[in-house]
Amino acid sequence: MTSLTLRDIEKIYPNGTRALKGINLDIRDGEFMVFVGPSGCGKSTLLRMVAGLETVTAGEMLLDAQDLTKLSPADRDVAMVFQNYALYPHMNVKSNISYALKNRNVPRDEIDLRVAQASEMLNISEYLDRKPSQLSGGQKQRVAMGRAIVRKPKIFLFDEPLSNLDALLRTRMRVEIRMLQRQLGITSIFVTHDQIEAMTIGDRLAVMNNGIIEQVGAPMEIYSQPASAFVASFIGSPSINWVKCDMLNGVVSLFGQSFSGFKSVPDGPVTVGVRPEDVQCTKQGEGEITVTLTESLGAEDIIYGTTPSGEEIRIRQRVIRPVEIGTRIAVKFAKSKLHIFGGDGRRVN
Amino acid sequence: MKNGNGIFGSGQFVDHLIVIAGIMFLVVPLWMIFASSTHLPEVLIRDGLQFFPGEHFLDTYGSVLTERRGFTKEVTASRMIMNSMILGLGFAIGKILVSMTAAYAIVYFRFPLAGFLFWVIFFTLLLPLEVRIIPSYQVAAQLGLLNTYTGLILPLIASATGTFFFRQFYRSVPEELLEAARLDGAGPFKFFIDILLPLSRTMIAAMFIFMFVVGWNQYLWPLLLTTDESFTTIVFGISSVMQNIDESRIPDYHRGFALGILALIPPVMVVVLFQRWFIKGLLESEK
Amino acid sequence: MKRVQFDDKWTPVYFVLPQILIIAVFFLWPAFEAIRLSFLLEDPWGMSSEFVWFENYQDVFADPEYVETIVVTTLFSAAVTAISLFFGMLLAVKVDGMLHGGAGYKPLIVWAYAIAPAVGGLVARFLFSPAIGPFYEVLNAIGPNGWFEPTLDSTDAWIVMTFGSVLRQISVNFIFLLAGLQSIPRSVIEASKLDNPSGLGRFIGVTLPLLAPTIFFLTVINLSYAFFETFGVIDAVFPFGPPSGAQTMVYKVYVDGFKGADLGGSSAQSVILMLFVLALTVIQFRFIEKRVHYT
Repeated sequence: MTSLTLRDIEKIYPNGTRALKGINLDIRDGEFMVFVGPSGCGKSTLLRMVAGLETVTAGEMLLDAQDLTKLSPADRDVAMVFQNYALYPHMNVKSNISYALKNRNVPRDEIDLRVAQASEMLNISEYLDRKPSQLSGGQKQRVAMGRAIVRKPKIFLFDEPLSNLDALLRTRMRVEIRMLQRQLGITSIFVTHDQIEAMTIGDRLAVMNNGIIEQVGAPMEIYSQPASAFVASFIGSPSINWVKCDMLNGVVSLFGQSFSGFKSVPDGPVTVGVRPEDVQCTKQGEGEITVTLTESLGAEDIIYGTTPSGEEIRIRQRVIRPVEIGTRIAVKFAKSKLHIFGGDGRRVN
Repeated sequence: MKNGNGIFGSGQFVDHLIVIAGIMFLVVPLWMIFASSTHLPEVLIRDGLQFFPGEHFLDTYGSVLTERRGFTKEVTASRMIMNSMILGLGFAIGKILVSMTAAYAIVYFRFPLAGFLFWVIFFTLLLPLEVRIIPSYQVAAQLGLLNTYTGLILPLIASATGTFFFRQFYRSVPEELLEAARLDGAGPFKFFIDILLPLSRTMIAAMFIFMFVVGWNQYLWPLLLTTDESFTTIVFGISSVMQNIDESRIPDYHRGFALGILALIPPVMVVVLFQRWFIKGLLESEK
Repeated sequence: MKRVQFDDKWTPVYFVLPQILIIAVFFLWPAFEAIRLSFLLEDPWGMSSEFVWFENYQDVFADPEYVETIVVTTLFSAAVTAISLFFGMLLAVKVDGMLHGGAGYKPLIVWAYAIAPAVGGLVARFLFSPAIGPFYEVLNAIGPNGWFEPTLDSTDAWIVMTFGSVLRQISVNFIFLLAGLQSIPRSVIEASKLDNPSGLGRFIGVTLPLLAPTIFFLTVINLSYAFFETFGVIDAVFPFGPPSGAQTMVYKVYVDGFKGADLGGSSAQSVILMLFVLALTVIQFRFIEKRVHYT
């Protein structure tokens, strides 16, 4: 049973930049946790702190109640898969995979056994004699995973491992990594900037921005109940539509519709978010939104339109009837699909 | 690629002519020395430097290599070649070992003196040996290093070129290799030996080739350091033979020339055979 | 600096120790000695020494021979630099312009790097030798009779020594310039061909500016070589010493210090040379710093 607890973690660089603040997270045994956020949000830094490659400025990091910060990277029983694979170029695949075990004086036959098992699992048994330069990107990534697997670590760390692969390979490897992790049951942390990747691969996501965790939760929870405007924007493609409105006496109006029942929300300006798939087109020919562009994705259409005040609205719908550019359309929402955020960006409904 | 670039004359033919002329400029003088070395001095005195080889290649070179000459008549060319070989190899190996390790310390470790030491090492780039030659001699004398191979080699290593060469290279090694190695349980020694060293193979070869030539061709330092003739290097040995030349009645031109050619051939062979590595060593180390 | 470094305190010390020790003993110590000795006047047997402040420096600069040495060394270095750079550039440009980069010619030029200065001096000495040298004959034939006499006339001596010094340097310049030329992106060359049909025009307008950092760098290298590494040339051409007016500063340091036992004066000269190198290096680094921004 491996659980990782992060409490009040802070990271400040020697030059004064604050990379992380107030990080609190509990990662459960066998969980596949994803750190997701834009570049510079601190997700990789946090991961590397777990690995021991970066120091912890303040806060506690406990692995099964043991203080990690006292241990060197090699002693933490943590294995990492790097974005650029980090394979030793002069060693063949077998040596690359077994290097860590050799350094720990694991007996020879045990090494051979583990290498054989891991390469079976990853389908790289044929490549054991090759050097990294003779492998493709996907094969290299598998070798990198093999290197991590044979150590039977307490935690797997993945630092954007799929970013260097082409799109097709990326979706395939995503599935493989997930299945592998389920099979092995090892607690894992996966860092990515790709929110689609995060949504499909994680048990829970930690959405990060500017050094803090905005929200932690299962993918659907985050999608349907984003805790902040940032999370609402970041997760979901095409991104959520924003409309600025005023809340008065618990009532907010947009596009000709009024929604009441928000008594607990103070009066004042609010931002309302509606996901593209929750926008219903009603009439064509009259309405407030002028269509500027349509994208046809095969199973769906994305319709882009502008409001009279110049804001862009994105609509996603199944292909019912084609919509021409320049058409005016009216839109309708359901109250349950509204995400209302106050001035501080936090959710209010 | 390109078909002549129309500078300093146009057309491919002219280009080739120019290059060949340049090569001749470099080759012909040395060729003439070589050719002349295979004649007897009388021929040279009568007709000047020769262009076509004579018949005395074997006996001249044979005698130079085996007979003892020089001031005190103690040293053969073979001995001098051996000394040069020891100097060249010793210098190259010594420089590589010392600079690799120093560069490793500076690049891969966070320790308080690192910055200061870096500047100290950098400072040595500023003063070539020739500028501090006399005091270096005195220091060597005080340490009892005159007429020793150690004394010949060590002071030459006291410059930063190699360290910067490796420092540059180490900085270009991807960060992740070290990170992966740390996670794999490799400490500083293991990382150096298991990972960095194998990666440095080409750089080491390049540096070795280049430094060998530099060491072999040293002149002023061996001049000062070796008063005992049996330690002279062949490059320096030329001059001691040359000094004798003017004292005899019929100058031993041919032997002097043979010595010059013998001094020339090993480094030339090294440079030509290992051209790619040599050039790499030259280009990288002068940055 | 690397993002991740080892934290060991003692391991790096062991690794860097050999280099530092050698530098301390064979660089710092002699350098300080040179400075120290330059302020002393020793008697000929090294029995006693007297602190004389800058007297040695004054004597050195007051000596017309020394001032002359500075001038001729500078001229000599300039000549060696100019000639080696020119021929190196010529060959590099021509070879670069050939199919397959003139690969066959490369070794035939590169080899010359292995010519030790002493060997170069040997070659020069006998090519210009009064007794057997063809150049001696030719030169005296085309000018007024007996004008060329390297053992007596310092200018003629310089000609010989320049020749001996230049052979190797042409190769050095060639290697660097060729590398520089080959690193110019093809696309730039092709664009320039469209803009300017004249080969010479392109060379001056596009190639030369792009090569400027390399040329500057090589100038410094060549000057250093001519100043410091040509001792072997001089000693090989003139085993008993060059005619007056034909010494370089380094040669004079050696002659005064080693043969003449004037440690004070010789050390002062060494220190002067040190300052010169310092100035040269500062200039070089200033410029290279600019070059880094420029690229």
